[in-house]
Amino acid sequence: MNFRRIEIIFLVTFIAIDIFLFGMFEQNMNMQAENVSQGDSDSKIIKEMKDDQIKVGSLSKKKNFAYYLSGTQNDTLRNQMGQLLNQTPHYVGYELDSEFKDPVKVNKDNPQQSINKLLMDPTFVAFGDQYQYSKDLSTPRSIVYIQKAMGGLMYSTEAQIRFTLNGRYQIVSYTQSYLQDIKSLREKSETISETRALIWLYQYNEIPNNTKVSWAKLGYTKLLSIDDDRVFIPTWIIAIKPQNSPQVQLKKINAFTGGIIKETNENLKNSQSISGVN
Amino acid sequence: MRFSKYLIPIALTIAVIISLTLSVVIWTNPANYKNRQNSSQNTQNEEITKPKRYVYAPTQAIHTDSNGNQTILVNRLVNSVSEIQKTMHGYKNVHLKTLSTKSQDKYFQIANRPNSIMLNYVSPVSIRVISDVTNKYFEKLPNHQVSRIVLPTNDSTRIYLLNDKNFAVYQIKVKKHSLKNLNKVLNMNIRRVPASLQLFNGQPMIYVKSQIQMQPYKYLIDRQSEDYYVSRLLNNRDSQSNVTVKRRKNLVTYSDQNTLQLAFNSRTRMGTFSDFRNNSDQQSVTSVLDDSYEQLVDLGLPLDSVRFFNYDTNSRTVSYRTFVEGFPIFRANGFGTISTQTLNANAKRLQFSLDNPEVPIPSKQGYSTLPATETAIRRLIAKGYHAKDIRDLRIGYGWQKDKSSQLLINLIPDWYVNYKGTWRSYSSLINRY
Repeated sequence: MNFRRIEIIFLVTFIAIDIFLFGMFEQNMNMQAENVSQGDSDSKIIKEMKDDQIKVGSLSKKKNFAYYLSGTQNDTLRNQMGQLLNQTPHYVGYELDSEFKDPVKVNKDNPQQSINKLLMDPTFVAFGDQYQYSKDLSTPRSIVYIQKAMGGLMYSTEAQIRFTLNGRYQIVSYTQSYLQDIKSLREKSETISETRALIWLYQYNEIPNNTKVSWAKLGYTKLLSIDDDRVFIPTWIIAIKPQNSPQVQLKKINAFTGGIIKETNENLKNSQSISGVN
Repeated sequence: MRFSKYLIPIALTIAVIISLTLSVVIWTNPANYKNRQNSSQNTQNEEITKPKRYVYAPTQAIHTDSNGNQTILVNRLVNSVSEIQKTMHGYKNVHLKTLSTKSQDKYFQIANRPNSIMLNYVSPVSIRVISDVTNKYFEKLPNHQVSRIVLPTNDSTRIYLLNDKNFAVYQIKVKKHSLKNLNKVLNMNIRRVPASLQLFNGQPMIYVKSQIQMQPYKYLIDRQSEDYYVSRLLNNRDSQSNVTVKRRKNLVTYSDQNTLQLAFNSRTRMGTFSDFRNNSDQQSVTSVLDDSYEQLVDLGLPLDSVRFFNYDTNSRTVSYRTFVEGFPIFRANGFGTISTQTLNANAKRLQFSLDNPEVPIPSKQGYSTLPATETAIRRLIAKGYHAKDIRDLRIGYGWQKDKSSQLLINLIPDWYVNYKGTWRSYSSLINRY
């Protein structure tokens, strides 16, 4: 009986030792996994992001080329108002607000297909061929087109058309802004890659935990205004969506320097008007 | 009863075996002994500092067409030199042959070769540096000094290198490669300025043949704080000693009380970093430029549009300038953006500007007209300047403060003259008397 008691004590002790050793073993495995993934620093940071419950899709490491651009804000749109048909345009503060007398019917599932064709008609919208559909900024009721510039797109409320649809898939009105004479200010130079932009945003602590990176686009955003001139820089626009919210937040990274672009008043207005993305 | 009799010993045996196996596995796992590597993130700096192939790229490209007419390829939408540089790959089986030295005829025969693109440096670099710029294909060749690269646009087996100092001509034979991309560059949207390579004071110089229209620029400047450099240059080292600060008028001097000193002039917005530690006292162009690049990396200034300008062998100074449209910027005192100087085996000096051009801004000023090179030289001589003291003449941009804002500068196109070793603007020389 005495021997049996000793056996039980031994058994308990060894089970305790086993549990302890197993814990150590687990820890060791983790350490090993970390050592293995230490290859290049980029993938390590991406892994860190995943550990922080940040969902990231596949990222491109390709570097692009872009320009510093300038455009002029002037009354060109007002001068074009005369040729618009079937609408009552109002011109306020460099913006053209126009309501259609007869709402224009568009394709139910892909309204942009119908609008793309209509844009070629200068009596429908002025300079329509200089705009491109943006899926990311559009909602079922508001279709957004942004102005094209030197192989890129201008993410700015000063170079945009927003079509408002009613429940019967008809365009009732639109708001247009336009920048004239878009030109490069300097020869093209290399921009940072999508991966880099995201890593820097993460390192600036701008990506909260439990979020998803829904999209990242290289476009032009306004850096500063001097009188009527607007200076645009290539920017990585990164949309971040918290797991439990339909709202996306737009973050901007200067694609030349990698610096973060904080929201100024102007930009704030910009992001509010396009924040209703699902 | 019988079952429970064996249960405990069996369980005990299993527990012992498990603990033994786990112990063995844990002890033999190498991960246990490997320290987790420090994941310090200095990737950011590496990204900001441009690679050697960017900083030591040639600064000017000249095209000679099939009739022998030469034009400077001026950047407009693309950087012409970078575009040409991108096509300079795929050189295999390289062999170098010295065609001639000290023969001006041979030199000009190659330099003015019809159907070629010539890439120019302001002062000679070495073949090793050119190798860094072109994917290391020429690494094993003899390390001659070179100031121009001639790329034939219709001969895919030869490249020529020229040295202005001794009129040496080197030929590199390469395996046949495609010239399609190189010829494509010539069709890009590039502005062309008629020019020719001629002798001036016994040295080859690019002459602009007729008067030229140049666009003035306005730039937003990046004003860097002194603290940034103090922490990079003084605190970043192994020395644990305290940094002291002294102020005198415009001058603020930070020092580690030992071998390092960093001074800022608040009026000129210039920083001077003196390093009195022992250095390797490099003499050859290759090692001087390698060493100088290391200092640029330490400094951490963003090198956007900054290129190697020249190496002055007398003062042992390497200077770098910011380029706009392919033309260098000169400040009022002739300084560019950064210079590194080796004084002797235990003194090095690094000078840099705290304000640097960052973002171009549309300028309302109209084009300015610069005279042709011949005219400019003739007028200078007529003003009483000695032709033999003029060492070089090139188009550049002058740095001028903008009256409306501290953050803006105007870049005014002008001829820049290397007169008795210092760079002065043509208009300041002409208006002097």
